[in-house]
Amino acid sequence: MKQDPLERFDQMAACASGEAAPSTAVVDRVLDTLHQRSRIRAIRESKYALFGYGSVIAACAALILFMMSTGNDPLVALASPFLMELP
Amino acid sequence: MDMDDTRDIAAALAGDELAYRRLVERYQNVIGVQMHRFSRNFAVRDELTHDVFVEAYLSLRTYKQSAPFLHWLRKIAVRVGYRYWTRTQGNGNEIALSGHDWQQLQGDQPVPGDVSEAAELVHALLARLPPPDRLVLTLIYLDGCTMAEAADRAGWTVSSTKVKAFRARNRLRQLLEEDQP
Repeated sequence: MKQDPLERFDQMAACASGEAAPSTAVVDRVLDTLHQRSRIRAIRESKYALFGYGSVIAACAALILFMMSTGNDPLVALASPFLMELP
Repeated sequence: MDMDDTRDIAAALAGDELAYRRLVERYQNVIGVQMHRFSRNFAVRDELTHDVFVEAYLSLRTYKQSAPFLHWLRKIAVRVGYRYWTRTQGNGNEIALSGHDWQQLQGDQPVPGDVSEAAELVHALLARLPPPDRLVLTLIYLDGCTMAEAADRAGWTVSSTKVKAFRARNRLRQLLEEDQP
């Protein structure tokens, strides 16, 4: 007599659940991947740090140049770009 | 909570590579068996196991020691395996089933006595279902989870897991009752 397919499946799955898989050894690969990732992260972080310091240095240099070119009165120097000379 | 795990997790978080090595060595076979449910190809199984431990390391800070480390790893394993299924679904990787295989599945032939043969057939059949159905049936039938455990591993609620299992079984029945070559 033909068995109900779901009952049959239950039996086969119960049998299959006891299957043993061959052992796995991934520890070296895992550690290699983690090393590579940390190296990439370190490079990326140093690049960002370089951009950060670079932009601060550039801003300071621009400010010094601006102060030098506008004389001794810093208030006038700061306001001068916004002042319009009347004809 | 295993004291060795607690000590090794704390050391791994502090940057001790050997501590994480010990954790991987302790659990790689258990997780390997679990990943074998997601792919019967050994190379893929090893790749998935590797991904589980890399992902676990990267989110180790989020591990709350309220449950055993293995439970937490198993959840990550389910996520990694499920992602693999959704990525490879429908790309022709289905294992072909012969007419004899279908007869065995449909009950016209005796149940295979060999565990590997039965596992091969069950895996090939489940691979024909959509990933959520496949996952719930794999967790319940092959991993021997209760509904609550399956829900916990898959990140679903218990009630939605029950509904998913019910629907998955119906789809499985339809699949088994279809006329196959």
